[in-house]
Amino acid sequence: MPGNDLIWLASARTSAWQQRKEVIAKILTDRERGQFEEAKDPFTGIWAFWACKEAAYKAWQQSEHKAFNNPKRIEIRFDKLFSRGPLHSMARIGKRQFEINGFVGRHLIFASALRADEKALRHFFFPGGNERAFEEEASRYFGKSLSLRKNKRNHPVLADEAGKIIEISKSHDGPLLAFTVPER
Amino acid sequence: MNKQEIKEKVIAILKKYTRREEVWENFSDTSDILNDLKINSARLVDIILDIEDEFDLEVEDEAMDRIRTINDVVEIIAEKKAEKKD
Repeated sequence: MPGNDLIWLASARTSAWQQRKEVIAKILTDRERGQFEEAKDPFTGIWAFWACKEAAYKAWQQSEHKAFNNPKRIEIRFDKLFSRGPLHSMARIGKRQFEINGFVGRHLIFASALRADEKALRHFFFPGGNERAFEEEASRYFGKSLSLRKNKRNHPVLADEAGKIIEISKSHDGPLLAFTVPER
Repeated sequence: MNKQEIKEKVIAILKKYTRREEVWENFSDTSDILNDLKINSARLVDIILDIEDEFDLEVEDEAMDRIRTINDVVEIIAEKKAEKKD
């Protein structure tokens, strides 16, 4: 059960977070703050932490079916915080651990989370509003006709004609939609 | 400050972070901030900070976790205000 998150950096630059130093104390644990303070680029650093937390939370929520708002209940440990390039970290929520992979690009940060015992993930990116294109691409990828739906917990899923469900993750920011699916 | 006054200020803060006007057409005290008002979790952090500034109080991590609805926010603020008076 994957989780993903997409941060469109042009939108992030206009966010109130840019002017608010208190955000750091609200969202990062003491241990995370130590790693954040080593980041060469604090803007990218804080949003990389956030993308990892969101991705891990979505993956956690799909199996736990619970909700919480305190971002410090998710702890992220990066191998290294890059201002541009690949992103890899581990996330811990309570006793559960997730591996996070993604990238920090010129225009966006992308993070996806999966549990240590799960298979690899596959990602699809489309312009916003283009969900039909994702359905077509996902149908080709899985070799059967699939449609995008929401389950009773309001999480996105792909459903085949027999009603079989594939749990997926979806993020939307700026002009982009990102979908993450389990590897076939 | 009574709960009605707190609620009006809370709604004014929430309105800064809602992208769609139509979410306010049928809202109630029990409207879920993330799901019904379509406010994302990053903006929820801004809302907490705005509340701390507006009401001159601190919303601790545990209190933040209790927030689901408009009414939850009002109750937390009212509790904090009462604690300050004591």
